[in-house]
Amino acid sequence: MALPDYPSLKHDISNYLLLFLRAARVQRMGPFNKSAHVTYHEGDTSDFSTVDGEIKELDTQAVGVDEEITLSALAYLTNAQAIEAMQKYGIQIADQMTRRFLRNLNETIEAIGNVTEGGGRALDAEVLLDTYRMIEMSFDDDGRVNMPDLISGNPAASETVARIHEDEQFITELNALIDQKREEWLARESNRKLVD
Amino acid sequence: MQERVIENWLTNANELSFTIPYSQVLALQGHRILHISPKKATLEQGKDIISVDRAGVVHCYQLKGEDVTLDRWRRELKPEVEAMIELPPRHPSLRKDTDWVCHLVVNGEFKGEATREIADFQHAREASGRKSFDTVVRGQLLRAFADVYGSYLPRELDDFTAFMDLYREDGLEPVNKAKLAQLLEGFFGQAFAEGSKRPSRNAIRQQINAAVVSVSYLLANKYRQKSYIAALEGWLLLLGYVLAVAERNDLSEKYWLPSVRLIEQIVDETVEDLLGELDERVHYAQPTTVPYADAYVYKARVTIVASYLAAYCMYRRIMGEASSAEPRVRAFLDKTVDLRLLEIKGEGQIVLIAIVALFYHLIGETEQAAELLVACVGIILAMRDKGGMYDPYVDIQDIIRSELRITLTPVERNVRGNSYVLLPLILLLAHMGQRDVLASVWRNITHVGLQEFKPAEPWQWFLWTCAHGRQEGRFAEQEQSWRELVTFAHTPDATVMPEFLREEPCYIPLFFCLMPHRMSGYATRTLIASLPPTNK
Repeated sequence: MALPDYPSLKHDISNYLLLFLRAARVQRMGPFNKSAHVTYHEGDTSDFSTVDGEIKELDTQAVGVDEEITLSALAYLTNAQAIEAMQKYGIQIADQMTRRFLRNLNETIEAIGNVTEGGGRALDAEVLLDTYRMIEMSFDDDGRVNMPDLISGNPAASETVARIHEDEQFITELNALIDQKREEWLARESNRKLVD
Repeated sequence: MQERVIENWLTNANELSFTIPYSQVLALQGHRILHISPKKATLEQGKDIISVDRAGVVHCYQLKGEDVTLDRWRRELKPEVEAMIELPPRHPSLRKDTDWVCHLVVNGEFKGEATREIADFQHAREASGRKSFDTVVRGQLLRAFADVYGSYLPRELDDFTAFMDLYREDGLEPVNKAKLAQLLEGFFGQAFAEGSKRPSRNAIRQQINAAVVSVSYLLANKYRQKSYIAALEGWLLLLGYVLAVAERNDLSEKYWLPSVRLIEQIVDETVEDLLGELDERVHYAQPTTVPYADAYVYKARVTIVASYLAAYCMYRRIMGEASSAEPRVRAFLDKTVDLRLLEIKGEGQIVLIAIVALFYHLIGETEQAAELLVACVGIILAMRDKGGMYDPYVDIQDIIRSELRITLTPVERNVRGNSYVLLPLILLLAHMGQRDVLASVWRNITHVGLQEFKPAEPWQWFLWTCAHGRQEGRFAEQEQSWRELVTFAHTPDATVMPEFLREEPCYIPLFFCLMPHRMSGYATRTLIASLPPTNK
């Protein structure tokens, strides 16, 4: 490169732009941001144990974006456009990660038969309660339930779920279910202890 | 170019920073180094270095930085030179009637009238049949250093640039461990290589010797600024790489032990210097242009100092010789605990505080130790539901910059629902018999993934990071037998830790301070199994 290059400045600008990519990715990941995670810094193999104590090899997969840029157009690229591009890439990466999460989740729950089929029914209180019945719920140390996150491909689903949660009959049944789940949780948790 | 680099360094080095390279020059000339005292010439009867040459002759060296004027000679050097000449060297391996030869080594020149007066002083002593001394000045030193390690300086441009970057680093900056590790990996590259292209054992020995000199060179600014923790970290990182090379190549002790012993002596001296500085302080602030800025790093500074001092005392205890510095270290630690100066910003600081706790346990203060460890466990468990923690690989400076949002490369809280350091804390509490404490949090502990990295080969444990190895994630047993846990905590690792550390575990606490990400369950078990009895 014979022309002035400003490598140090460009390094800083790259980091500045990546901040927007990261922010967009985090926002897009939604409830998956709350999942347990760990960063690996070393090594070339890894494994993890499931809650049941089964050791599984970790299968890693790269995520990324593939985009062609017309270099001569860089002369006219504005800051806003560059940020917009970064945000788009952040969303694409988040979507790849989310798809991977969901695929793993589906494989796991199908393997243990923990699937509720709507059978063509619309999302209603009964489908929602069936779903909640199928899963283990966790509670904080004060016994408050950590309600599961619901993920749907239907943009209108969140409104439907909110409406269902306002229904008194549903609330009564849900509270009863939560009480039952709390009992189950307490029984499970009581097995987690130091003994002689 | 390399000679100019050496000249530049030598010109700027004070006696603190060229004592070690000069010791190494003597070692390479066949001397056995008995004693190095880069700082306390007056306390050591004017002898910075005591060595024995191949013929068995004892040599005493007084080293001085900068030019020597007549005034300086009369005021400062002459009394010390006289002490060097008159007082016999004292060392356990020397007989009381040992004869000795004296040398005054100056990295500058004798200026003006000083030259004549020193020569007169020498002649007068010789004429009266008394012991005299010879002198070594900058030109002779330059030749000696260039002969010994000129060819070992980094030759490739990339290495050379990295070398100079480290050399130019401000003396008050912490040593850039990742960068220094990278440089050392390049330096020892062939000795770490796969297959049969590795250098001969003699060549590796020369590389080790040269690495000692190179690191001394790189730490010149740290010594100049009396930045003792930075110096300590530079030497410990080198120690790790020397041990890695030795174990990787199955070298017998004669190839590497002299360098390791030299580094041990330097560590002793550096800790003593650090304590000397702490003795003089009533606070630990180091304000700069905007004094308030120091508030953001004050506790981080104290935490790392406390941890290294505790680790050093443990190192000496496990070695079998409790340090005479222990009461001063204890006083400093008590002060930092009483004034709440220890701080946790990530799992790296938890490792540092765990080391302080273990030292308290060793001196019989198990209640204090458990209190510190319980606080660490509590933070990990609390942060599980509050965004997680920074793992022990994350540098404290990066955490502070990220939290203040003054960086373009912020670090994230990158462990959530997992922990690299929870298992070591559990093992330490088990070792200390803290059953009730662990029982009260066991339910929450079982929800955390316990992460552990195991290098592919034991010698790689000493490396800053390993390309090859296995990351393992496990949950603690939901129903855990206390008895089995205690037995497990006291069972040393037999496969993952380097053989050297299994045989000489005294270094483990210091390596934990240096590389908090190396505090794993298996390393902690190896340390626990080596601990001497606790004070009653």
